[in-house]
Amino acid sequence: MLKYVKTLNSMGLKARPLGDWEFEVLTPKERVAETLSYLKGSGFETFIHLMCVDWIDDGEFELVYNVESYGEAIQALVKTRIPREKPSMMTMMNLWGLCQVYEREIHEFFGIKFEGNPNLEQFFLENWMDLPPLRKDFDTKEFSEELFGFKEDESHGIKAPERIEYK
Amino acid sequence: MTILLKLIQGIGVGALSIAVGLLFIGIGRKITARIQRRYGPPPIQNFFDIFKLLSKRSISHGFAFDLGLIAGFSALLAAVVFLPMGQINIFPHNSSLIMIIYLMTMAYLGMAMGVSSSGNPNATIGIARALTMMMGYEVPFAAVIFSVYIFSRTGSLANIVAAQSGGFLNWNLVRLPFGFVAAEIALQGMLGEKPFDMTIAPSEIASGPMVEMGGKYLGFGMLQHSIGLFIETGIMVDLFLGGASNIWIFIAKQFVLYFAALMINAIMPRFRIEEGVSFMWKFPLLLGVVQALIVVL
Amino acid sequence: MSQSQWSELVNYFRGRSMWMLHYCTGCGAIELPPVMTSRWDMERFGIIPMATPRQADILLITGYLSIKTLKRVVYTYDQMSTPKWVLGFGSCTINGGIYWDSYNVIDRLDKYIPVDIYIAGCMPRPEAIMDSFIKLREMVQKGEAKGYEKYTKNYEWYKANQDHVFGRSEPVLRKAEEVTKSA
Repeated sequence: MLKYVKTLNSMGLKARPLGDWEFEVLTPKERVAETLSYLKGSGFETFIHLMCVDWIDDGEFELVYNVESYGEAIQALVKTRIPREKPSMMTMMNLWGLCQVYEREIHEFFGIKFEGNPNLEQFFLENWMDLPPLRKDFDTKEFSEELFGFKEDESHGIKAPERIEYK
Repeated sequence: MTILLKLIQGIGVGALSIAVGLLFIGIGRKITARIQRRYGPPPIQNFFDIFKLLSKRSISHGFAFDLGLIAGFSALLAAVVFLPMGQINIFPHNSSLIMIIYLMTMAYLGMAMGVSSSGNPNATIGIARALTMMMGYEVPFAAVIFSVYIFSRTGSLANIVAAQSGGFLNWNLVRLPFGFVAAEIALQGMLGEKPFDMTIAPSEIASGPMVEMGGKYLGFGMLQHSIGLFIETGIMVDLFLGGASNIWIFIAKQFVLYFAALMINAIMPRFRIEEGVSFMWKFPLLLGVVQALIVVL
Repeated sequence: MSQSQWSELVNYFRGRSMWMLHYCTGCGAIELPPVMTSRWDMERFGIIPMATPRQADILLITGYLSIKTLKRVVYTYDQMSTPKWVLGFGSCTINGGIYWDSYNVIDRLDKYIPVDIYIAGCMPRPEAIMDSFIKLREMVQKGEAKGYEKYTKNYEWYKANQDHVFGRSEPVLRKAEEVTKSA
């Protein structure tokens, strides 16, 4: 594992081991594709998943690409930070085709635009028009009370049905 | 006057077959529950179910749906009238086995027409499986009927019963043992009991033909099933167990056959449709052909 | 036999034979196999699981409902033929349970379809399910379980509530315009 860390450091990226079977690489946004294609070429052929973290105080989103080498049983986390205002990222579909689905999901829940991804339509949610729901500034409690909340005399202009009293 | 009498007798026989069939299914549910170490419903549970179903509001799926179900139900009611049951035999000179089986096939075809018009794909798959399975079990059953016909030299159920009179050793069960085994396996398929219940597989195709039937329609489906049970076991009693001297012995003999089918039902998993048909065309057909050869030679 | 005696008889038979459709959304599905099989054996009360909504009398909702599943539940409820009853199972159908502030899980099922009996708990034990079946049977036999009539009578109210969730045409929270600018 250490040889990958050393090579990545010599490429000018910040890499460090996180344990016996995992290491992380911090890259700028432009060098993600380069780093991932290097890792894929040296045995990390399995794309596990794509995560997103909302660092709202820093004003940044952090994207984490998780890849694994089954041959050596080690994993790599490739991390990059992008600004929170008008977030966008290039797609990794030319490396792994299944990135399409993960990027679609991240777009749906965080609003990050992936350039080059042909289909970023709604995936799990239906008819969603509010803030992307997993952003930290989305008030899920207020949303829930507004949409699903109940008051006994709630009406929409129609009288609520009378309660049936059971003995 | 005679016609009126026959009509009343026919209605009585229809009601009897429905009651006996429902009671059989209820007792069968209780027995299955005891085998599975459950307490089980009361034996008259099926009468509660029928009453509730007929009192529900129900949804029709068009004229062909109604017509098909009524055609199937009435064909089975017509078939049960021709079945000799102990001393009850409304048409003593007209109990041809071929006619009864023809009317039962009519029932299936009516059902097929009805449920196919509901437009649900599960119903279409289910009824296709039912007709395929019918093709499977009718072939060995036809071989058995062939040997019984040649053996008794008659085509009428009443005469077949008469030919077996005079003690246990005259029964076709003893005289034609291979044919009885083949017919018993075919009966399992006719009743739709466990190794051959792919027609109404609830977890695969959502109970197949019954998928769009609710309320009164499902009630008529259950009544149809209970009459079918009565006729199928009744034919077997007349063919192999020597008929009966009165109706109670007849029903007792029917129950013995149904009990055997239940025991197999309780411990068996389900065949796939092509496995079921190929099974039917191997062992029961072989036994039926062997029996026919023995009789002919 | 008078009209009321006849309806008493009908109610008695309806209570003795209730067929159930279980809509297993959440974790509650795992409590049903012991109820059906030999440990508790609900068939002794004439309750058996059915395969399709057309054949069923009871709709048992086991657990939380997201907006998408609620839509299917409403379709299922509309397909069932009257008389029909709904059992809400677990805290999630009462007030959202642990998903009380979630953005896609509804809070109270009774706003969208009429619930006859709630089974409280997270999870309710199989005894609680059996108890609710017996309670429902008593209510049906006394002629008190009238949720389906309430639905027909107040259909506009239920429909407005359903449309409020399904047919949103503008953002629920006012802040959303800011986001459309930034995204």
